[in-house]
Amino acid sequence: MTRRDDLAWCTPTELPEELLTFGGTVRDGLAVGAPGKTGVLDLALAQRAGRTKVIRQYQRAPLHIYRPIYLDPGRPDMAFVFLQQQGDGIVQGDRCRVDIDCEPGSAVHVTTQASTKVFAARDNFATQLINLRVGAGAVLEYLPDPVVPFRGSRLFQRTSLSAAEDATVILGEILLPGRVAHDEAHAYDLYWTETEAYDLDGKLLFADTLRLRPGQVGDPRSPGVLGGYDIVATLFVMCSRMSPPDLVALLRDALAEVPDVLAGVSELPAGCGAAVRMLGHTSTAVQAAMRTAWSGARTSLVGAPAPDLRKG
Amino acid sequence: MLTGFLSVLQLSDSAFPSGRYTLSSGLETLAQTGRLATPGDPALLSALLGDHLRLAVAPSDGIGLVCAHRATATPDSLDLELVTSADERLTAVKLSREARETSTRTGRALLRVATSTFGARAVSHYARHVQSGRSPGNHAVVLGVVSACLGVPRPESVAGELFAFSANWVAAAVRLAVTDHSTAQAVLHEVRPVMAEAALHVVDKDVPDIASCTPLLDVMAMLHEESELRLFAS
Repeated sequence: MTRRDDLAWCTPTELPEELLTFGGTVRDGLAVGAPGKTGVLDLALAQRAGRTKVIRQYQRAPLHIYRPIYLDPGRPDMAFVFLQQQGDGIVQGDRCRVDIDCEPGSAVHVTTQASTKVFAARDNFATQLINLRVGAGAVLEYLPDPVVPFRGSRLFQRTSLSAAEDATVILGEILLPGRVAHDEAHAYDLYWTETEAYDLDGKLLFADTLRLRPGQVGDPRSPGVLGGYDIVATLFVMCSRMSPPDLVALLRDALAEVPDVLAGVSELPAGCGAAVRMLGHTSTAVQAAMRTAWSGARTSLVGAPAPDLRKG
Repeated sequence: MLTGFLSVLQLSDSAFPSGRYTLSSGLETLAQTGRLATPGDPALLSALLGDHLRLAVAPSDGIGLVCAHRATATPDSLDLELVTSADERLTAVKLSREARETSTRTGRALLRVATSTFGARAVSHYARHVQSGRSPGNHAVVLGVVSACLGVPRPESVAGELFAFSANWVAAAVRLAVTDHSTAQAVLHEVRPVMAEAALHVVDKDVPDIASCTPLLDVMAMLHEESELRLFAS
């Protein structure tokens, strides 16, 4: 596969003008497209002898995974995959691409080992392209740890999900304001993530954008954006086995008693599930609320509550 | 040219029977949850309305509108593929159920009036497409087709829609007692440059650009669905 060596293979297409304006030549570091800057992780997982196993794996620095582990006593077949990023985080010039193919009938949980740090960029920006494909009857939970955008960082991420109608998908993202211990809050240059979900025929089901540019149009401090909260999180739950109103009711119940967050739940377009949008002041409160919502959905849809992920 | 201008006035008039006056776009929840005092700070009202316009209405409904306008080359011809893809993507970025339902409800009301009143072939063509369930019929997309048929240029069409949204939003603010009539007009005047800039910013955008990013306002829209005591449909 020579395509994977191609810089274009790793770079999202149609990057926005607001990002490209940062597209200068890297002066003190590895250039865009240099070895170690175009991380690739290409995985396929399938059900084999009662367990979901990795059946295809190609990885290139700085991205890699270790062997999946099976840590959920309620779903012993489910493969837990921990994405790893060498070198502590995302730096300018990185063009990373992750492809995860969950074959029909597989059960996969993807997370990270720790929060994703995005380091300051001087000359350029960083991108991540994440393509998730979930086959008939398969289950995918894609719940990375929060992203921590450092002062002056510039990240563009596009997550593209294709899911079979009877697949179950739980997809979440949490954005922290920066290194809180350094009093750093929303001091990045740009944080832009796009999430698009399609059915297997390529019909768009829903699209969501988080486009934050401190000090410009889209300032996170603006009252309609984060409205004085520091942390924003989103959870998408797609499942055809439960009606969207029931799924919404389940998530609202799960979140009703959760303290210190402002959370809204609604039905996704195309009747494909439910969305949770959440704002909070502390990482602890938001992560706890996300776990509560995840666990509530999981108990009904996957057949077991959220397990201990052993992240220490 | 003056007839196009007059059509903008007609389409953005609060008396136009599309049912827009039933919408508060989350403002009712902002008031009910105490995020806006009674009366609210006029600067906060302007900032909230500005966020709505720049980050949600213009980049989602506004772009849907300009795409539909572009798809309507003459009152007799309609690029159904383009208008439907804009319509579908607009639905796909509306993550709260009420936002989708109110957008298609007002869209259908506008289509009914436009079909019986304006008599353009492109409008009736699109109305049949919506009736048969092949296109969602979002208000902004219908308005794009109608405005093009009535000879309203694209920038005026979007600006007119942003104005109609804003005028309705401040009227809702008055009904919710978070402001008075006079302050409402001051807010409307204050955001005029925001409307103009946001309209020009999206006038040449295309279907993939349709997006929206106002997390707090999204949460308010979602919470409104749970509210039992309500004056507004959104």
